[in-house]
Amino acid sequence: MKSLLEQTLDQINSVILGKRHTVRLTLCCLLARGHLLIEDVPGVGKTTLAHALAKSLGLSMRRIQFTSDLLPADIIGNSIFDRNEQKFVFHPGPLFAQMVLADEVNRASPKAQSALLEAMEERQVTIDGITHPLPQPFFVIATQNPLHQIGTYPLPESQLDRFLMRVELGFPDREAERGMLLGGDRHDLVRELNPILTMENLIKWQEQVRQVHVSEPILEYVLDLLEASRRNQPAGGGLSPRAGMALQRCAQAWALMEGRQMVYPEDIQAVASSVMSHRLGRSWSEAGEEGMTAAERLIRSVPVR
Amino acid sequence: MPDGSRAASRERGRPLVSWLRDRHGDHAVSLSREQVYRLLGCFVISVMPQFGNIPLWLLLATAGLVLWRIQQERRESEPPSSVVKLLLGIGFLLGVYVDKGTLTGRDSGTALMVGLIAVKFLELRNRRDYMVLTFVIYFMSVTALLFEQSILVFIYVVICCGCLTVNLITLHSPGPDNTPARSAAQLAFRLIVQGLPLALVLFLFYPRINARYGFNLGSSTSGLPEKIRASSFDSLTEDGSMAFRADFPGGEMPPATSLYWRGFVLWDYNASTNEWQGTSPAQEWRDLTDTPANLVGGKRLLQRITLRAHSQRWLFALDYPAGSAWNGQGELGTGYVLQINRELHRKIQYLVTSLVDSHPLVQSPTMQRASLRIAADLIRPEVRQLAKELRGAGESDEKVVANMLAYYHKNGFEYTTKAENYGDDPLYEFLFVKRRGFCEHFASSFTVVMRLAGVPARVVAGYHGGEYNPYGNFIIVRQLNAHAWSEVFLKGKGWTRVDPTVMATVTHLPAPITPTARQAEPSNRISEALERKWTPDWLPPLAMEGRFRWQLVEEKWDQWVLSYTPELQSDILKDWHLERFSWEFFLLATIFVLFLTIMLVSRSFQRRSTSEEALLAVYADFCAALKNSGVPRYHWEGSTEYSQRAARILPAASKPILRFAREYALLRYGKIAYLEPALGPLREKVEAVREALTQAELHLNQ
Amino acid sequence: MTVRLELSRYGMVLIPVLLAMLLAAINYDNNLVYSILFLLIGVLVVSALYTYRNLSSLEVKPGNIWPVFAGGTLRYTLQVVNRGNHPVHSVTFRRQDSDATFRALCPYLAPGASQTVELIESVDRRGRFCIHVMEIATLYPMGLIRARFEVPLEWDYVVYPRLWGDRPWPDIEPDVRTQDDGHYRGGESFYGLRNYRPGESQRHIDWKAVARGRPLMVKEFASGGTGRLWFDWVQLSDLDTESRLSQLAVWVVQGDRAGGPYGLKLPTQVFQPAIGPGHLQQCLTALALHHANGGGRS
Repeated sequence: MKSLLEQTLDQINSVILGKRHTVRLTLCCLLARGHLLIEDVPGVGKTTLAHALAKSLGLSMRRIQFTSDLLPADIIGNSIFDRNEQKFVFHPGPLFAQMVLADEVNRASPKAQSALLEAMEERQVTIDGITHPLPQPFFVIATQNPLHQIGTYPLPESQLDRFLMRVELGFPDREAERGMLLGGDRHDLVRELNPILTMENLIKWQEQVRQVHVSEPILEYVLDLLEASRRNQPAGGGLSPRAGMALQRCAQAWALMEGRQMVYPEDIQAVASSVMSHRLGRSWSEAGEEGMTAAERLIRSVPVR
Repeated sequence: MPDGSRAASRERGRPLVSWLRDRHGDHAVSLSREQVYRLLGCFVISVMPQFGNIPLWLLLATAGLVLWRIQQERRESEPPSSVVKLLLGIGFLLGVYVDKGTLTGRDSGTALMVGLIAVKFLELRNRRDYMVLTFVIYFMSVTALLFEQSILVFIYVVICCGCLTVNLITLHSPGPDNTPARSAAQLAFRLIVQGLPLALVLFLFYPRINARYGFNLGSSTSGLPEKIRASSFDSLTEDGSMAFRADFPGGEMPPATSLYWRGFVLWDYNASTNEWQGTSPAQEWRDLTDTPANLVGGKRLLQRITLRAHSQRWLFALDYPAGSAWNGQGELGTGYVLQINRELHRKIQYLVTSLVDSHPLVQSPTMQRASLRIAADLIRPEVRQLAKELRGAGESDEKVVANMLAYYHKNGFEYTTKAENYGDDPLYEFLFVKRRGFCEHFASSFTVVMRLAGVPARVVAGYHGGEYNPYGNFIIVRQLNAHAWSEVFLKGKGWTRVDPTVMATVTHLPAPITPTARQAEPSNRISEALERKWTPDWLPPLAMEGRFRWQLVEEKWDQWVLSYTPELQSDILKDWHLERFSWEFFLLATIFVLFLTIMLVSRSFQRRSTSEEALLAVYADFCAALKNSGVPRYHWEGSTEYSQRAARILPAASKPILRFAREYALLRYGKIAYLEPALGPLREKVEAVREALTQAELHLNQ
Repeated sequence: MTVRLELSRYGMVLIPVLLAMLLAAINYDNNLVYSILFLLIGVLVVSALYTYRNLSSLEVKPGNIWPVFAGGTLRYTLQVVNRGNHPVHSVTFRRQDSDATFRALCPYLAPGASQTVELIESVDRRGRFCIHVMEIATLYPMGLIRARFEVPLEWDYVVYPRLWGDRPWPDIEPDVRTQDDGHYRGGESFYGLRNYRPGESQRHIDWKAVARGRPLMVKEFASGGTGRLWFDWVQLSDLDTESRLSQLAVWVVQGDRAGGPYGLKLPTQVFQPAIGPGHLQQCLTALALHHANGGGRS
């Protein structure tokens, strides 16, 4: 099983060069049944990553390019009156796919954004009083340009909480970039990828993630982290209970990917940065010092027992 | 998820508990109604054993105040003004003073305390008052032991103290629910049981002071009257309570006919009041003839007597005591009377030797005069005539005695336990009219007539007979065994006991010491008659046996708890080769006891899951080893990351380090049900790490 | 953490009572009174151990502290965890301060459980302060022995200036960068009307309503699209320092409620116009610490 996972990772890493950790986190997020937010400047391979992932996992994939005039119906679909049948027929939108790539999600209006986010959260869509379940597994990768870019609607903090992880790709290092220049077109490479995992495998593993043992000291550690994040914060600052659950679930998935049936504190720490950075309040991120991110500072303030 | 953590997560984030802000601390917190009721309840049960010791009016007033307080609580009315409370307090003071004639001493003190506690209840509003009141009630419940030292009262007082302790606990530890009384009771029980060893050692070793300086105390304990007149034993004939218990460490029992427990001697007869008085001559002169050497004949018998407090200065022993008792505190006085220098207010136990069936041979002239002194002209001529007839034509003293006994016999004198109505001159009435009476009628009349006839005579007061307990081999003597008899001095024979009650009455009934088969000797019928009253026929044998068993328990109790005297204490210490009670020893003993108590208590303090702590200790050991080698753990580092870092820095020991870390992480974070078996190998792995590190260091140094 | 044991005030009262019992026992030479006395002493000693245990398993961590304005009530929480295997009863939390004692009570804590204890204090001066230590004490089980220990918290908190002042908002500065500052402008959304206060800019007066005979009203907009709002120290030159700070604090809070960006200018610091809780916090903290005399109450 581990080999299958490693194979998948290797395959993706052959397309996305020099981003082993990020790729691993992405897969971890998928196993933890969460949605992923990739935030970075254009051109670093966000879309390629999503494509490679979908291809390697053998998932059906739809891409939605978010623009400022995108309407909710463009995402989730709408009911159209069928003259022959004499009733409304639901025409599913691009959201009805196992993997949805929501490209540049912060370019769309808040209305369209929230339509996507609600569907993400509930894993179903309700139109005209009829509930349509989304396919299983359902995995959204949203990409977002950094906020200082012109013409964006930043996602509100409350909505950010719905993404299990936020990762940043960042510029590749010199060696990786050289490899990219030497290699062929990325899109061609992606097209050539073969599915390694089956859907059944994926679902089975998602089930196994829940079985990974979380011992009492780990539980205490998570609680300590949550408490520390709330300390000295104005009301409502700090991590939400949902963040705590996310942290635990990601750590379980990470431990499983490491081939373990129990969570170590290192698993928590490995995923902590991606899970917490978009959830920590502004006061955490603003008071940066010593070149550490907010998540790193938080981790260093809590002893492992 | 284990239960504990589930509880933890439930508790977490619960809203604020409770808060209060005041500048005076928590003693200003008001009390709940239940708390007040509970303390009132404790007060009431603590007063109960004192019912007989406190004047009735005060009890009623106290009950009234308690009811008033309850009413206050129910109507939530204001406490009475301080003037009212002051007046109540002064009222109690005056009342007790009028009633008892003093404000100090045991009786007045207890009565006053009960009253003042009741007044204090009226103003009980805050926690501080509550605590103070609780402490005072502790003290008050203990005072019951000053009146009565039986095992039952002791147990009752312990229960009272337990209730008060429960009360204190509920005040200071509200439990998780609204009914903490049960858990508080459990805790109080644990506290008392765990406090027992310390209490026991303190009891054994706390240096007792031989208190020879008692305050003067009023008392209501019953005993033999100091003066004897016609009906002075009236109240005693019905009284089944124990006067004393006697057992015989020598193993030998006295014959049933010799069970005359000598109390005191009455010398003076006041003819106008028909009263016998004892103490004055005994105090005026000290007769040096009354020594053990003066006793002839008889058999030496050692007795151990447990005497209940009787507020008098007599100790009792079989006729005739031959030596002092109670470690010299009971001196052998004139008339072979054991006398102590203060009134007895607690139960005591003493050893005394008697010469049974002996008699004093000589008497001093002073005693001769005292034993013949009588104001003959105040006595009716008929009585004087009787004496003259007894003497007849110069008969010997022996003959006179025999004649008098024959007179009783001939005229059908009868012993009765029913009070007779006698007029102004009971002596005359008894001898010539009614011819029925108690022992004191017999003894008194006999002695008066003897003196009139010129035979030296005196009245002796004490007890006669007793109840034999076959299980404990001891004799219980009750108040209803109180008896008076006569002694006459016969030339050549010395003082001779004459019990007119027994010797002069018609029928001779057996069994002074019932109900055993060990005596078939003839004896008087008094004891038998009284015994029948005390042990009704309907009492089944089983209950009888139960009574004997209980007496046995009481006997042991007295022997071990009551009679733990300074002498016994020092004896025990001597046995342990501690000649003298030094402060150093006491200090050492205290430290030892404290240590013992802590050990005992800490057993219940032990944590159940020590394995987790042991695991952490091993890990701490590992961290310490690496730290010594210059790789301290950052507190945020997990074990795996730390060991990997350490392995990089210390490549020489990398293998054992990583091996340990793998094992530790499995134990710490894995699903392990039992840690204990894994701890030993883990410790070995730490040792391996240590060893590898030392080796590496050695290499480095070389 | 060192737990200290001592006789409580109540325990002090018990000592004379025990002495009286001892006197009675000696005077009446009464072994039974001795036994009860010794039993009580035994219970006292054992209860001291229980008192100790009641605190020994307790762990106290700082929880939240909420921002507070001078004259308001400071709220903060402590997280109490019972690490032992026995329930913990009746623990009081006390912060000894120069002028007052603040207490809270935690009546019961099950083994392994944790609980949030909230304490409140009234504060009357702005500035940065510190909760140095918290005293945790218990009288369990009988109230005779007191165990206590001190938790060093060294916990800083800021008291904002008193909210006081009713000056109208200063004029909104026309902002030349309105159209190209990168912020999306969804148009001015009408927020409401309020009474005109003399000295205010006349640009937002609802002239149509005036024409209909209504009193002078000012239109307010939810997001300031027309300019930047600056709260300036200099604008309040006629007030003393504290009143100035109070007024500025009122403005900052109002500015945050209105939702539009606002900036703050102090002699020592300038905060560019922005929105959000972080900005609010920064501005208020700056006001609180403006020439504050350091530690203040400590």
